[in-house]
Amino acid sequence: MDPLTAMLLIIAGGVLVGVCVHFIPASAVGAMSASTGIATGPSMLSFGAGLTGILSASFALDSGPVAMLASGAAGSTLMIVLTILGGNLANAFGTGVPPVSGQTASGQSLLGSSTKDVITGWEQKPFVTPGTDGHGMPAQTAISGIIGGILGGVGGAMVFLGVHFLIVPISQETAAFSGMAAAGIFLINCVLPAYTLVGKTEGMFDRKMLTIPKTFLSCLIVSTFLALIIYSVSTYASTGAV
Amino acid sequence: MSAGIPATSGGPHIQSQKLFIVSMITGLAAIFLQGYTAAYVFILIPLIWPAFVGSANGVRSLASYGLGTGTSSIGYWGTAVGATAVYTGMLLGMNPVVEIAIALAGGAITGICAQKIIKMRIPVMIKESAILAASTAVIIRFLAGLFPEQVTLLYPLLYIAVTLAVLHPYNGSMGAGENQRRTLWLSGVEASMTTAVFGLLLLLMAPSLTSAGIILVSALGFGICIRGWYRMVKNEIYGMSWTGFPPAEH
Amino acid sequence: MFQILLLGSALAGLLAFLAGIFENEDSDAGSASNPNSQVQLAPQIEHLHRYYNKAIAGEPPQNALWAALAATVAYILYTRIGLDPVPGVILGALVGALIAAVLQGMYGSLAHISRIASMKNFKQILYWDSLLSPLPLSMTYTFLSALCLTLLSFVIHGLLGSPFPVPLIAMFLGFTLGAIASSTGDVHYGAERLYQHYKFGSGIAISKQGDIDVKGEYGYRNSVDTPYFTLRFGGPVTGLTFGLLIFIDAFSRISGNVWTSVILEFLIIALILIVIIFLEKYTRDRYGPFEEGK
Repeated sequence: MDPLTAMLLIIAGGVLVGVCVHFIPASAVGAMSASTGIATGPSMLSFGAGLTGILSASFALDSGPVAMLASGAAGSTLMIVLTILGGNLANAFGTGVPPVSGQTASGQSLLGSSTKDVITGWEQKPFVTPGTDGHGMPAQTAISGIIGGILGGVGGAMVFLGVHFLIVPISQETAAFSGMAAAGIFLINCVLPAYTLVGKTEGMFDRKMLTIPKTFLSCLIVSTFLALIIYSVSTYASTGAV
Repeated sequence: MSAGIPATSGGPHIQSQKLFIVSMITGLAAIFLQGYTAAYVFILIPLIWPAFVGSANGVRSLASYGLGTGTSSIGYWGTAVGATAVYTGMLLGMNPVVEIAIALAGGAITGICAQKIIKMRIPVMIKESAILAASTAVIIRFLAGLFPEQVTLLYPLLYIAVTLAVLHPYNGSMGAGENQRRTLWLSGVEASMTTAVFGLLLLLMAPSLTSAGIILVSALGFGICIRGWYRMVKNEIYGMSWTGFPPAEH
Repeated sequence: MFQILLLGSALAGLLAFLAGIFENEDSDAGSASNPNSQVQLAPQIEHLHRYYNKAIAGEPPQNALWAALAATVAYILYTRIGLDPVPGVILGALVGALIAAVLQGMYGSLAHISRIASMKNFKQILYWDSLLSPLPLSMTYTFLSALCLTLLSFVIHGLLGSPFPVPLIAMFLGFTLGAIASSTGDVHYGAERLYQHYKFGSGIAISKQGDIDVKGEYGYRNSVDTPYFTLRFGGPVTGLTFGLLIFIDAFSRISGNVWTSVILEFLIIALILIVIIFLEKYTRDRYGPFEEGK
């Protein structure tokens, strides 16, 4: 694989990571069963999912690029879907509330003013606790979370793969350094969209999906800068110019 | 010149630019002198503490605008930019000033994206983001250079320990009565805790008087900073007692 | 090879399950992460409390630090001491986890004192015994969870064959465990334990936030009273989530072929999705629409 392709892989991976934060439903206030979504902040949740993806992808390091991407997607999605199950269990039997989407209940979903869940068609409004913005993770957010997990896992694995290919000619301990660099690029690209989302999103049926172009552009710029640094490090090292 | 965030008590407000210049001078001096002091490198440890204080002040400036996603995120991204720049540079043996410059540029670019594209509307975003990235890069470069050879196995710990040391002072002091002086004393306490931890790691890796010296100097700094911080706590707290019932009415 | 992978995935699943339980209890023995906003809010509406306001950072970076610190110390000691693998790793992990627990105790106490010092307007008094009673409990749980995460990283690196070095795996696992525990176990603490005077069966409305329980079953509630409650539900749910994640991920690789692992994991994802939708239907039918004050 030539260095230019590896650099493009890093940039594409970084942008995918930024976009995946919009798909994974998360909200910090959910820990008090006061808002729909996984009960933690969007940036840290996507970061945790992506790291699981990178860890799974590392097992497939010798099996080729496609196997690595698939492995990363599988690990990341598994983490998201298990977290959704665990969160729903805690809400259902710990607090005693059914999963329901607050934004859909107030008619502000992306697809129009219907108050029914998009996937199952179940009515959301009567089940929301008044004064809260929903609780738990209903079916439409779960599907959105799975899509977000796949995107994030693939993106993280792409960044890992790109850095790995660029560093292989230079150093011995490629896995350690590529993992660390991938985690750093992942983190920066996860925190940027968290500011557009202001701490809470319900996934792909949330109105905040319309801000994806801003995320796309800013993650593109930041990933390009970081990819250029790593690319120039590798070319200068292999030509021995520094 | 820069309005900044009012100090709210405990003395005049210290501007971030001044802290930045001090931490850059002391930090870069420490990095360059590392090669020459050999076994006495523990003398240089106090030179890196201003960089911790400057980074904590950067986090404080950004976070007081009430971002809605928590103060911690700023600490992560600033340290991530600084750390990625340093680790990539160390792979190649780059000049430290080049690494710091790359970190400064990276922080500025991230700040520009946040300000112009995402439109976060924080006046000091670009300046503080660049300061944060560069200061954390200086800290990580110095701490990594303490160890005998390039140890990639320390990189994860370096990254996360510096992240927490930089974001904890403001996060731990958050409240209506928070003021800059007390937060910066607390960041001094945590700076000495972090250098003590790395001195301990050096002791475990290669026992010598140098590592014992690092731990002793850090303990000294810890003692001084904790007295300063605690004096301010006693002035500002509503009341302290061993035990008792709050006058609550439920 | 097959036997080593089987042993590795079984050990990994067990250690992950225990780490999940201990991490959740650690974040409940002192009010950490998201529900801490409620304890922080309470004095502002005149509910003066005796909780341990342990505001270090979010759960993911905290646990990443304790795990990375413990794993780095363990790895350095293990390569220096030169004992056989099993005693050497366990000894190193014990020392590393101890150092991580001491550091956590210091960070937590500094945060508690500093936060209460910033609450002068709300007349919140700093009670030393409300800091010193939960402190050993919180440090113990951190010790246990750092220990389990370190041993888990060694298992993943050694027995399951990941190319990443041990401290990097530990940092990754710390972030993941923190994100999972913050989403599952914290709901039991934040929505149920802190608000027991509200009836079971409702989320906490925005207008009611901060109105936490200050008195307990007998006298004033301390943070020591929280783990014995959440250990009955929140802890095991967190342990189940993290343990299943690590176990399925490791067990699916047992045949040695990457593609069987991917297909198996996606099948399990589909199965879990069906369980999620079934759970939603069950709670909707059982609980019914929201009715105030029944």
